[in-house]
Amino acid sequence: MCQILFSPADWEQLHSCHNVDAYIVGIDLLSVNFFAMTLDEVITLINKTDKDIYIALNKNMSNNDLPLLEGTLKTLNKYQIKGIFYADVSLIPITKRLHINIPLIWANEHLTTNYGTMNYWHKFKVKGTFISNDITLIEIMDILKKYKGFKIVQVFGYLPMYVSKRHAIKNYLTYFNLQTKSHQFKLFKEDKYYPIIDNDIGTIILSSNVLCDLMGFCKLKQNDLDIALINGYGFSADIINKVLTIFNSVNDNNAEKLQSQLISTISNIDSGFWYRKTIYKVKKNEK
Amino acid sequence: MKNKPELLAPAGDLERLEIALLYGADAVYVGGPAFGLRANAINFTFDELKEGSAFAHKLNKRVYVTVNIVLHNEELEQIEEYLHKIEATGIDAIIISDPAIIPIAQANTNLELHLSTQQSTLNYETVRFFKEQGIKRIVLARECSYEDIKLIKEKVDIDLEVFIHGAMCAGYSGRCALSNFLTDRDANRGGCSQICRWDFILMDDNNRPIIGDKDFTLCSKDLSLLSYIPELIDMDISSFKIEGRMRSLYYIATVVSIYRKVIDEYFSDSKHYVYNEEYERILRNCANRDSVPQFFNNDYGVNCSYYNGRVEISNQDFLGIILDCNNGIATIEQRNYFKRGDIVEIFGPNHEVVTYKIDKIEDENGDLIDIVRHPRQIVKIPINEPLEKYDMMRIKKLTN
Repeated sequence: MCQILFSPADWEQLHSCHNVDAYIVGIDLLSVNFFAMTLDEVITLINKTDKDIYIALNKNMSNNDLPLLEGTLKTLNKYQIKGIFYADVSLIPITKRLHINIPLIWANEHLTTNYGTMNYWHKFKVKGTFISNDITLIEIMDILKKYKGFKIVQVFGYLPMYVSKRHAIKNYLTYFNLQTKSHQFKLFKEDKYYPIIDNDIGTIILSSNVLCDLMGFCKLKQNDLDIALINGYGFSADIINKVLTIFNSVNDNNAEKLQSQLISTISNIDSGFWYRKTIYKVKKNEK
Repeated sequence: MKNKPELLAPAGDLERLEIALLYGADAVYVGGPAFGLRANAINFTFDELKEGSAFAHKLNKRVYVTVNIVLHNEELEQIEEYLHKIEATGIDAIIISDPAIIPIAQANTNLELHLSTQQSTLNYETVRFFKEQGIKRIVLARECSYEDIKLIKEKVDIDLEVFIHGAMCAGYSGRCALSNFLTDRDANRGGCSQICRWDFILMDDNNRPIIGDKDFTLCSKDLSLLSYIPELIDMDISSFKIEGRMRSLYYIATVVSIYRKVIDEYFSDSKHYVYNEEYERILRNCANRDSVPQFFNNDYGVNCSYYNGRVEISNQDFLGIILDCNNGIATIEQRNYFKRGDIVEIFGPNHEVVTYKIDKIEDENGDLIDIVRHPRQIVKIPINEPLEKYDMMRIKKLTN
């Protein structure tokens, strides 16, 4: 049975979107690509909700981050947490040394591209993987068959494309002495808009289009996908509630009709890389 | 005194491998026929790897092959056979990114394993973990500061490789898929189309453009740690890495020879070592973008941003390469326009820089000419200096 894991964009979504099995949130200074809050706020959320909670501690960790990371892990270990999304390998030795019993989920968004590496990490007690968003549906389904851990795939929302330690917006505004009161930004290129966020961690950029392919989602469910992640970034709580209703009720018979409904609400929907293979050999004279 | 660090240079082909090693690199890293992160470079065949590695070993130097793509399922199934073939070429180590390769390489080969910067390794816990898995050397993330590197070295006894010069990724290595999304070219499998150097328009929350004198870009200046070489030697870093497998012969020769001098000068007499600003000027002249220490000194803010988009300075300093020198006549292959009367510098791995005014030029037929304008034109110049094959001729710059 495929569960719905919801990544809220803000408090409003968290308070009003309940048609889910679990939430995933981040923690200030330790997370990227997820809605981050303080550790106290996370604990309050855990105590109040009847849903499962996953925590993203998925930034690239420098030496200086390790004390905060260790303290956070020790605190989280006292609560019922379903899993920790991580990107930095340091979480493997640290959770082992501290006897943290929360399952680790490998979630380095563009490195989780083959079952061999996933099974490699499985030997180190990594229980699950958040599978890459830039591989095809066929590749994902091959992973579903051959990977021993539990599998998570993002099935709706803007996709993470870029993480940097640099502060790209702040630098640009400073360099050219520009003033703005805006708190949300986009990059514009060739008729497309890419959400860009510059925060304490650095800069992240998201895709211009919204991944949503209900027919593909049905195939993943039939191939034993464990958890489907829905990313709420960029949408109102009302729209997300409609999306959640659809993802909870979709099946082979109604997928096309529901897909049309979503397209009429969200114009920039596409299927990401599910049917689109990336290339990497670009010279004619390649050996 | 600490151990003398290895100077590690990039080599896009056999000629550049030879140049890099002759100009003072202790080792080179190259791409093999597959699985490397520069899929649009020429790269080496297995035979060329064999030849390059034999050349290096004669000089007591080393060759590393990049096997540093992030694997997809289909590549996973081909990797074992590929590693066997790589090992048979006699190279010294492979640089991997995907940990799935670790057990495959260990079970089937005796290859030494280096962990690529593509893993973005920034802390001692991760370094220690990979050491325990049998990794011989870690190429640290370019986001590491001096303090980060120092602490990692103090906490874990392992070979560390640090980038000292060259282009930078704007994002964390491995966490940038801009190329995938905007051009369908997979950055983590060698297809990076360098979207970070594209211009964009920054828009506010009402879709109004925020426009400076230049367009928005993610592009950063290049890296140069020339002035920090003593600190890196004192930290006992094993290998100093120069970026750029797609760079020119001249760039490789210049950058390698400058860093060779700095390392040797500091290592031979650290107490009396003096930073040579002339070296900095030479590096600046052969580069096509500004360079700064980046994350190493924690100054990665606005000073690192580069708002010239894809406009890069085309370097015209490199005039030619010496093919031969006999009886006071140097045979030179042209690389940029030069003419009679030019004042030039000729440098090479085995002698000091020679400054010379060109008085006479003969073409291949022995006819006198005033201007050498044809690409790769072969000319002869009388010069009474002991020049050698692979010496390089550049224009003498009288000012900065």
